[in-house]
Amino acid sequence: MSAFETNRWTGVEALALLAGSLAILVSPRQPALLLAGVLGIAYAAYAYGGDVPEPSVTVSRELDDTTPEPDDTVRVTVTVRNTGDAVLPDLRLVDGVPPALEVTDGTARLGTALRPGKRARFSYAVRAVRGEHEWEPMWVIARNASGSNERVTETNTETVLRCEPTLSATENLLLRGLTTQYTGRVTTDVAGAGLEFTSTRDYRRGDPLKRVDWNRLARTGELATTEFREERAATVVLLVDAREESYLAPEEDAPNAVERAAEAAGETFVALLDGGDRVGLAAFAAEELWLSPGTGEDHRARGRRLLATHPALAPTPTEDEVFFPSIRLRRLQRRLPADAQIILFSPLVDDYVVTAARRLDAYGHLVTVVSPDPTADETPGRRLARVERRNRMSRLRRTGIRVIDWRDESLASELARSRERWSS
Amino acid sequence: MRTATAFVGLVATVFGFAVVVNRGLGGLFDLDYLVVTLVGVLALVQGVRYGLSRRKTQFRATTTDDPELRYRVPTPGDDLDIEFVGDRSLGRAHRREQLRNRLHEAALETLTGYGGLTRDEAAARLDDGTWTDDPVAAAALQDAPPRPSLASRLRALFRTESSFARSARHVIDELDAIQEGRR
Repeated sequence: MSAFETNRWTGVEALALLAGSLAILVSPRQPALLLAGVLGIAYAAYAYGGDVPEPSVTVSRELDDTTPEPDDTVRVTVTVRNTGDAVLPDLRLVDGVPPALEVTDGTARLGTALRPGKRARFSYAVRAVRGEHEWEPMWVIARNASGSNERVTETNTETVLRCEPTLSATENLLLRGLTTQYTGRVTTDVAGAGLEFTSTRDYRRGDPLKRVDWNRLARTGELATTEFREERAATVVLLVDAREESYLAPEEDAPNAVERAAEAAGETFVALLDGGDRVGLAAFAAEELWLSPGTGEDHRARGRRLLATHPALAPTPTEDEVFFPSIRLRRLQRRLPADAQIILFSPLVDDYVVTAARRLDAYGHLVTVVSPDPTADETPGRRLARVERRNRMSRLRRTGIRVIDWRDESLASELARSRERWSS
Repeated sequence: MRTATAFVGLVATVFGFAVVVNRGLGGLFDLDYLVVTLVGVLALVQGVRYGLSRRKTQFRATTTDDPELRYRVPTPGDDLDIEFVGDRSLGRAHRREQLRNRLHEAALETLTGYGGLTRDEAAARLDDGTWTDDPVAAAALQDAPPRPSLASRLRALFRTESSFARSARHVIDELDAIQEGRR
């Protein structure tokens, strides 16, 4: 980038001219004042003399932990080195901290002067939040010694902070009410995995010999047949509404609705897997995210990574992506297994998502909505938004879709309260 | 004019350097009191002009944003500034109409969802203003509201809030109360 004038020294010539004119006009004439005018000329020369050198600096960033847990404090140390052969008398650096991270200690800026080959170092601390955060280019602002000229460049080095929650299922989520289990009792002839012994009954002719309860016969002399029941797991797809419209928060520093939705989806994912269900992931966003329902350790690890670092669920909205929600919805419908139940995580801030939930419901999927509440009530406008959101929830409930209004308690207690309401 | 002054300045400067090189040239002018004073006055005028030019120029510097802060997301409802919809500006009538429709829709939904009415019943209640005890809120959503009394019109003269913003605020608070079961 080319240098530009800062106009800091505008009018410095007046010093020389006024001193000279006073030396002449004040009687008796003052030669000393004329000499002071020379000083003004020197200042003018100083101001307009030097151009600012093109700064050539290299940056290196060090994180003391590149894969922290959420809410951990990560210390970032930045080292800048002047690789050019010009002295940089006035160098200002502003680091490109990722938008979702907040600096909690120190400052991500430095003002310094660097001789060729010298290094300067500064450090600050950020609070980690879920996601994959890439540092943006660092601003380098250089001026000449007098500050009359300025040049701005950017320099960067690849730095990534990856923060994946461990998703422990310590939270006792009561999801039994959220998903319906198939309680189809399928009696089978084979005993094996996924079967549970339920009872014995009197022997009837034609029962396979394999299933005669021989122990009982030996004990009591009665012929009895054992019965097994097959437990079939539910298939659940967790759908996170991460459209740009959903990035909302009730206060400036509160986590936004998409962050809360992703967090809740993570807890639910683990809890359902632990309950033996097949769980998949999808996002309603510009970036495509789809993990077909599955079980097992690999699946769990994959789901965890997607929830933490997939760009669709980033803590800040992605810029200028073209997004056609209807196409995304149709594609999702084609992919969903016929018996899949859907848990939709959405702040419900517009009517489109209500339509989407109802459409999925009409296709025969059991839909439950978990809605993090982003509304506030300080201004009439905010109160109107809250009124409208409640109306959307009641509209969904009237069509038989269950909605959990998740305010600021933990998801577990909110779920427990909802279950009480549903079972009553 | 500017080229002329620049030319005169250039000639004067070159002549000055010439005097430095060859002192004899200084004798071409008779440096009497008047000439020197004129030069002084000229320097004074120029000095004042330069000094004043500082007041008129913009200082320029690169402004950096605040990377230390977290990305700010809006709060639902921030896009409608109900206080300012009533301000005199282009497209005011259109914006008011939009907001009024939105309030009407929200009221209908609230009465059907929370009041247990059918949509037609709710529309009828809104139209005759019997859905609330608050006269301001009731009048706001009627197509033909009754003419307010002289006293209330006089009071309206002394309010800073526009009547439109006030009635919108009353409607919203009333709906809020219905939803929370306070009515």
